[in-house]
Amino acid sequence: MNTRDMHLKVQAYLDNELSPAEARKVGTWISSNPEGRDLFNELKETREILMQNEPVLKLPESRDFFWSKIEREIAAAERLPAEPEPRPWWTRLLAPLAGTVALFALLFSLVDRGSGHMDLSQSHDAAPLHQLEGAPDVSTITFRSEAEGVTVVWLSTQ
Amino acid sequence: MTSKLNYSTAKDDELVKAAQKGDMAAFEELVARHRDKIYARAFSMLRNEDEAVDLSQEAWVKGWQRLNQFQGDASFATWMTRIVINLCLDQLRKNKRIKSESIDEMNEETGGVERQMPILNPNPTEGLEREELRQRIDKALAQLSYEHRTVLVLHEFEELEYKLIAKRMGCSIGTVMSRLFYARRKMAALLAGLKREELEK
Repeated sequence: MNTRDMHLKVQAYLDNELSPAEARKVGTWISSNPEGRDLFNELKETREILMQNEPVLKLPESRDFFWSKIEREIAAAERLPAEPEPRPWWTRLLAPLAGTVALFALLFSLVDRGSGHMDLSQSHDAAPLHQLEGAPDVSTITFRSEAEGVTVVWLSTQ
Repeated sequence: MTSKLNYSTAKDDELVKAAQKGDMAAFEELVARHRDKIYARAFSMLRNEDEAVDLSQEAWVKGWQRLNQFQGDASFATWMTRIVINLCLDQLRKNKRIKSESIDEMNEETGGVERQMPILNPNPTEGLEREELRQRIDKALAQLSYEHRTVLVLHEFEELEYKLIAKRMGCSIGTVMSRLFYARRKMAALLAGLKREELEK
């Protein structure tokens, strides 16, 4: 064991942080080693001086002033709306699932309309989005899944 | 009945029970009784009067909000002290004082000057009034690094075990032992140095 480790053991012995077996070993070393004994005494004296003489400080504000600030803070905190209850863990699974469902729904919708292929650029559905949105017989539903980084726009021309 | 409680003579646990039922006057009495201790703990860790006042105030607000969690396992003052210590540790992490005191960290890792220091017998109590000694300790504490001071405060003043200090400070028990060792040796040297300075005056 090096000197540093032994010094730390002396301190741990002083603080009653050693197992009984280790404490016996370190205690023997301290009693037979003058340097160990001196170190033990220095640490012990420093510890006792500190424990018995903690600096006493006074709050530099009057009772009424300090309390008025606390009271105000408490009142302000109680005026804040309560935080919403955390959502159950399983609801986090719904977001990606909903995204997938919406995507499939869109695909089925396109197939079902008899276009026979998915190339929107070739079909009459390929009109620019802003035109469709402006058309009176077109409604759009947008779904955004942050988890999947996907936005699905559902167009209906009924 | 809460309304019949004599606040100034009631015991802490009676005031706590009343405060838990929403009696703010009872809580005010608890604040009045323990505000100095809570402030002193904050100041001993932060060494900044304004921050210590603000954080002790925040501790009292949190104390009120969490009052129903107080089970009476420890005294109310001890429970409040834990709250303010945690706030101080958070604040010190935010201030990143650890980084700004990298020289102390380096010394701690490599074995700073205090390892080579001769073993001392500081005996600073000799011929000193208690108040004078306290002031000397306060002055010496101010010269320690954040890590050394915190570990010393938690061990010597709060009387926490190594493992609890490690948990609070988010470090290993070995680090706590090392910091405490150097903190004590530094304090011994600082106290002896302050004594020497005064004798030379």
